[in-house]
Amino acid sequence: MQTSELLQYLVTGVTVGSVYALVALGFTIIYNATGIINFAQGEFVVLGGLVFYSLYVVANVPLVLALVVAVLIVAAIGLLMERLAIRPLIRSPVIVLIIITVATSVLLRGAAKLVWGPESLAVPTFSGDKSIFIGGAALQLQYLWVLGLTALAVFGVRLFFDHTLVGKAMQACAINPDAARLAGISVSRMVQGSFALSAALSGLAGVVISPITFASYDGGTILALKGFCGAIIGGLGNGLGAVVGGLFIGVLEKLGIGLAPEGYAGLQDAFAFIVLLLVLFLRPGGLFGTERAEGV
Amino acid sequence: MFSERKLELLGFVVAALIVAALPLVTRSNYLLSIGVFIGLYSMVAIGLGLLMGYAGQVSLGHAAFYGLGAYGSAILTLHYGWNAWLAIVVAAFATALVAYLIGMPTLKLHGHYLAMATLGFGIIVRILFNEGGNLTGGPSGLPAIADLNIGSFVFDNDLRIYCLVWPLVLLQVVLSRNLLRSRLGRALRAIHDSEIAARSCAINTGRHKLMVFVLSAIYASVAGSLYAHWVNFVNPHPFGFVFSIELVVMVVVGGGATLWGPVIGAAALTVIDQLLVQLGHVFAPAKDMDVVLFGVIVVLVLLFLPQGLARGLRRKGVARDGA
Amino acid sequence: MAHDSRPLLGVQRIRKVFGGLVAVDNVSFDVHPGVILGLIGPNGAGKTTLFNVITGLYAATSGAAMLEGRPLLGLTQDTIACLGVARTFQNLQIFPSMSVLDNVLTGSHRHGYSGLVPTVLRLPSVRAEERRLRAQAREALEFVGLADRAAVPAASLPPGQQRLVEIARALAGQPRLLLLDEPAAGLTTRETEVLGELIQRIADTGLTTVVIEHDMSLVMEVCATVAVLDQGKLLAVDTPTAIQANPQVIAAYLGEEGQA
Repeated sequence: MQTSELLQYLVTGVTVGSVYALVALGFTIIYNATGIINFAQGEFVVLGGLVFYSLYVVANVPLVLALVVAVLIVAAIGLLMERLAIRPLIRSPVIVLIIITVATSVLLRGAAKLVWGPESLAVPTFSGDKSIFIGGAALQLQYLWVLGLTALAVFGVRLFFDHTLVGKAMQACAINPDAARLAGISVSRMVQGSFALSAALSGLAGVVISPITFASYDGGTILALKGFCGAIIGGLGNGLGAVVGGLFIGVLEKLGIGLAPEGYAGLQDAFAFIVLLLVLFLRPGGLFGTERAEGV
Repeated sequence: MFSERKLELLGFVVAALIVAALPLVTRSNYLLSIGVFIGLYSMVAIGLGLLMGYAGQVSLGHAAFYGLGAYGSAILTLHYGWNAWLAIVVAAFATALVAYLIGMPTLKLHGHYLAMATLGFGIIVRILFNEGGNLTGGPSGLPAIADLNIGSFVFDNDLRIYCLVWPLVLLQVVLSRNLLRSRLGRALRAIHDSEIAARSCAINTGRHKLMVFVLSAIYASVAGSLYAHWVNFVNPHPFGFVFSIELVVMVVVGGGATLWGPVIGAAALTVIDQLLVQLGHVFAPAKDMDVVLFGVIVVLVLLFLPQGLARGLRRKGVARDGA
Repeated sequence: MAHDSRPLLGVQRIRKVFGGLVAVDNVSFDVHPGVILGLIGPNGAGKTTLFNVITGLYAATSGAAMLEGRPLLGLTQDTIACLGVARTFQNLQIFPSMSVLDNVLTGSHRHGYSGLVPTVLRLPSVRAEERRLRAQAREALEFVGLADRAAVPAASLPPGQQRLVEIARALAGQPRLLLLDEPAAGLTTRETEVLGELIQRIADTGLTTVVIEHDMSLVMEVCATVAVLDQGKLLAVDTPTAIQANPQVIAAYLGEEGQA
């Protein structure tokens, strides 16, 4: 493979990896607040794209406004999900929590199909179809949007957790809910906040990637899985690890397609899951994390 | 008062009578084929019910095991000319091995991992069916799979398949009952109640969960094989994520931790599904609503009958003492 | 103390650190066959942590535990239980969805061998095994005095009897070593008396037992040997009378807490 080709796969990989990274970060935020793996995480991405389509393409809302409103709407859906489905069952066994989030994802997906229909919807790029060339690799401007907004979001989340009172309170809840409660922090508020934030991040991912992948009601499951792979590879619960893990999955996937023999490109989705199974086999604590004690 | 044992026997007799009644009251191929589907789904759901209700784990990829059984039978009989019954058994063993390999690392970890791993596994398998070239026939699948037969008796219509599938379902219920009333069954219930206490009773929790997971995969594989020999044709379509979720919904609705719960759930969901299809002829959007409806049903069941899933439905059956 | 026999349980310089907190600090003592040893100490002294290390629930930071010369640490909980180390829990850990008899039957898990296939087919060998296990379980139930409650859901019993179910479950496994973690916690005076008498009878069967207990009169009455832990360290191992007279123990434990 030529260098330029390699570079091209890298660029594409990092771009789709950005989406996985945001999903992985979303998983991590909810997991840290509640111990739940939210199987509806991918649906937030899908809804982000679809809502954005309605605003930006159908209703002709200006770009930035459409982007912000779409993200806010998805955050609101996250809040609603927490309120209606999660909160009443928060003390249930793990299996019930898994099933309730799976059911929510099915519900959201079915609803999306009814509202937006089964077809993939084309969304125009944010700033034209031009590309810039770096070392022989074409970099579409939309890729820059994806990379820039992802970086901004990750940086923002970091600032939020490290430097705001609410962020610190959320971290405290993750580390020790009982102690946080004693310190006067409302744990259920923080759980709510984690769903909103997590949904917003995934919604943002859905908005920025929609011009590249189109918006379609049924893409959520695979996105969720790849995001989860990222979160596991980064060591479940580790935010930075999740972002790196997500990027890693994206690059690996695109390189995998590049290196695979002709005619096997259809296997690209299988690739991430084989990696997931390998990681679960070999390093269940993640590539960067330490193995967690379990069950006690 | 009936004793627990008599109640169990009574339940079994009633179920057997219902099963026997359908072919006596109708010869409609439509109704009989629904009966066969309920039977096949029950076979899968019974295993999944053991996994969910007793081992406390959920699989989001059981459609893949069903598919492995179907494709296994199809490939072995079509490409290699094997005897169909032998193909069913070999496909089941192969599926068991696959389940063992997935379950071994994930069941030692928290409940989320098996769910995610099986979800990923289900998608991989579906992709492999699609991309398998001549071996799997790609998206259009494999046609002309032979009927099952015993000597000159060929299971070539819905009634005959019905009479093959349902005794197997009833047999499964008996086997499950034997399992649950045994040392291994007590171990599973113990794991469900308190893993720490179970381990202090010398129970290897990981191995028992793995055992149930593999057993449930075998059940699914056999059901899938029977499906393939019944419809004489497989393609990747029925073995996707949606079917995996439907199976989970069947177990949730019926109650995993009961002998008949998964069967009742399978029947309920299949009937609802068919009603929506019928309704779809009159009111087109109805046929797209099945997925939403299943989502709503599960959310409602979990919210208002959470015990139905977790442990409650079994509570009535607690006071048993065989002596 | 003069014991010719090899110790059944040898606790050797066990140390367990949580984060920066030293919960158990280089504790060593032996438990000889047939002995009933009382493990006492103020709350937070590390008694339960020590049990959890010996039974494999926690990994020790360093040290060793030997069962008849065989190292236990590093083995999984179920393997250790399989070797014949049975325990009860301070906070009751019965199986609430199961009957009393099924709870106790679960304790004899290690004495069954039937695999999945014979079990689902309910072969004669499985039935024979089941009969044998049931006999064992009934014996244990009779021993603790709950034979007439066998068919009752375990969760419906009062806490005192749930404690007995837990002890019967441990006994049904016919263990070589029994670890009782505060069996009298939460019991009424009357129930504690019954329990004391039960522990005495367990001792009479010759089963080696370690019992963590706060109730000093119970300990002094039934235990041949008493070990005192304080802030993770072993203060003394001696006869009950000597322990009561030990000034260090009085200062660290009896004097400070003045428990009866």
